[in-house]
Order: sequence, then C-alpha cells, then structure tokens
Amino acid sequence: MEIKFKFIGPLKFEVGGRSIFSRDVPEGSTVEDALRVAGMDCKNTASFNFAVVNGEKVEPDHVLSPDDEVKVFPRSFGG
Amino acid sequence: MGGFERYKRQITFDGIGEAGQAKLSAARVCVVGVGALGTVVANSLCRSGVGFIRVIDRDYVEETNLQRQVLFTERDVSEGAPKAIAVAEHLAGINSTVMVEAVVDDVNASNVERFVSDVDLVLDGVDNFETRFLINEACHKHGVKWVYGGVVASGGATMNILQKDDGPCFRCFMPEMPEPGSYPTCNTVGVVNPITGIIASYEAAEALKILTGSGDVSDQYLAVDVWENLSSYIKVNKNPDCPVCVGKKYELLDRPAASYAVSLCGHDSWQIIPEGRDSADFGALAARLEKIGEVKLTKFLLRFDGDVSFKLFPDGRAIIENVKDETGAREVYAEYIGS
Repeated sequence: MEIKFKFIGPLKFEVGGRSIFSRDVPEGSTVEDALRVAGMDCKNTASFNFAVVNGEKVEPDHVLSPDDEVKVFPRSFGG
Repeated sequence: MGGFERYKRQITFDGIGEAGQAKLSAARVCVVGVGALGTVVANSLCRSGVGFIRVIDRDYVEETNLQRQVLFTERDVSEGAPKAIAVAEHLAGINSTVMVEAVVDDVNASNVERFVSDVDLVLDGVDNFETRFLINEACHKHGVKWVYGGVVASGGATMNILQKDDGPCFRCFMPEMPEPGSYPTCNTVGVVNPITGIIASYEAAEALKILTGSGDVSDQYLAVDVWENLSSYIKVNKNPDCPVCVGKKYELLDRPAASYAVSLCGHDSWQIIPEGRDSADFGALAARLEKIGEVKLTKFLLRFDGDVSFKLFPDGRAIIENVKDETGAREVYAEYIGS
C-alpha cells in the first residue's frame, strides 16, 4: 500500500534530504515499520518527536491504512 | 505615563477591556531564558502592561544573537552585558510602570522552584530540554501554568501546560530527554528569525488569554514551519504512565545538590557552577591571569582569552569556551579559576 510521508523541518536530513515523498509499504505496517521503509528508525532518532496520521497524533505501533499520510514532527527545543 | 491611556488600543479590543487590563496589571509572570523567544515574549508582555515580569538568563549578549534576539543592541554586545540585565534596561525605557526583575543565573534544581512558585504563569524561552523538564516538574509541583515554546531551523512549536487533572504536561508528549548532541540544533542547522518571532508571539498571546481569563485557551500542540507552509494543531493526550503529572515524581528536582555542569546550546561551551557558590575575587584573579593571557573586566563579568577562553561571573559561575566535554571544562575551571 502507498503511504505519503512529510518530514517536518530538519527531520528531512534523516531521510536523505527530501521532505515529501511516498513509499510502498507492506499491508498491516505500523508507523514504525513504514518510517523504517522511508529511511528512519524512529526509536533511535533523537530528533524524532512524534508522528501524526491524517491529522491525529499516534504512537509508533499505530497500524496504517492505504493512502494514509504520515507527518513526522521534530523536537523543537531551541530558544 | 502611569495610567491606562497607553493601553487604549488593547482595552478597546473586547477580548481584554478594562477588566482584562486590570488583571494584566496585577499579574506576575516569569520568562525563563531571554534569547530569541524570551525577548519577544518579554517585550510583548511588558508593552501589554503585565505588572511584574521576572526575566532569567545565564548568558550574555553576543553578536550572533542580534539576528533574531530583539531588544539587544551592538552596545550590549560590546559591553558583554548579561541578557537579563540588558532586557530589563531596555524594557524600563519601554514601559516604566512594569516591574522587571532581572536574574542572571542558571536555572537548575536548586533554584527553579523559587523562580516559578510566586508567579501566575511561566513562559518558556530556554534552549535546552533539561531546563524544560525541570520547569515542567516545578510548575506541576506548585500548580503553576506554563507555556512551552521551542524552535529550530524554520520550524517551531508551542503548547500550554495548564495543570488540568485530565490534561497533558510536557513530559506526556516527550517522555525521555534526548542526549545533548544527538539532535539538530540552531548551531548545526541554523534558525531564521520569523519562526522565533511567530512562536514567541503565540506564547505571548496565550499568556494574555490565560492571564485575563479570556479567549480560547487550549492545550493542543501547535507546530509551525514557515519554510514548508505548515501550521498544525495537534491534540496531545495525557500519558497514563507520565511520571510527573500522573506519578507526581519529580526526579530532576529531587536530585541532590552538587557541582553542576551543562553543555550550552550552540556554543561549544560548557557552564560550570561550583558547589557552594561564593563571590569570586575578580581583582586577585585578574592579576594572576593577566600574566598568561588577555583579561577584560566589565561590571558584569571577567573575560579571559589565552590558551583557553572563559567568562566568569561574580557568583563563581563560569562559561568555558571551545571545550568538547565536561571533563575538559572542569579541568579549565580548576586550573585557571580554582576548585
């Protein structure tokens, strides 16, 4: 199934420099699985904050559906 | 210029009115960190007539701050002025009816409760996660609302921590503190000033609403990125396993007091705070250091440039520059300043 990704801000550097792209992932993939396909190990990426699927914040074990959009938010800490 | 005349435009706004203005005049806030976010927040709240503003920062004004940290001037840079002092001086010229308390200090477990427990609201202008975790614990312990704000590159986020029984705290959406150096910083990926102004302005707006009891005050997480045309409100649920707002465990606050070292964001510098802080004898130290390097004394600090560089504050706190780790910073402190 195809999943659309949007990596916000500096997170794009974790996945090769592109902010927006789609990838085919296996049916039943979780957010964590799909992010790994996109190039990010979210549990070992310090700048990863959380993922939002179709506008709702979800945990990495959330199971995706076809055509879901996954937005990935960084930790914002500077001041 | 002591009356409400200066606030005529915001009193006319029905979200504030005379009653709201009176609440602002009676309100007390604490702005922790007066860099890119904190200067905008303090500026806005001072102009709005918030009666008491405590501004805290451990740092001094540098040339690289001027790109985004409003209120500061080139003169502040040349004087090596502490940020809190410079902010207080500039705000006094903007609105002398507001009481501004400048605190030049590191916020840590030994003092954070004192700074946040006697105010109505805390505003986040800090540049690191550890201080935010501390603020979160101290504010929860004392039931004080606070407004989180953070930025990096072209993006940022803000969220009200309202201390509601069913609402989230900062730790609910950021359970673990990442290791310093493991994530992008303003030093490594930069930051543009529109995002700092936007996030800080949201913080100030939320402060006005919270302090006046007006408007829609939510505890949703707002993420903005000005380079990617993003603006998203995201609902954050209370974490049933949160150690702070559910478990009421304050692990950072409860750490035993000790000599303290922290890496400073974006500086390749470490701050050393000796145990049992005491007044540094600048005169004797300057005489000794002048034999091995260049010493500059201002009314705020002693700066040394030689084989190593550091700034020493009157209370013994020092910022050791161009060192990679805590061990190196402590060695410089012990050798040049004294243990």
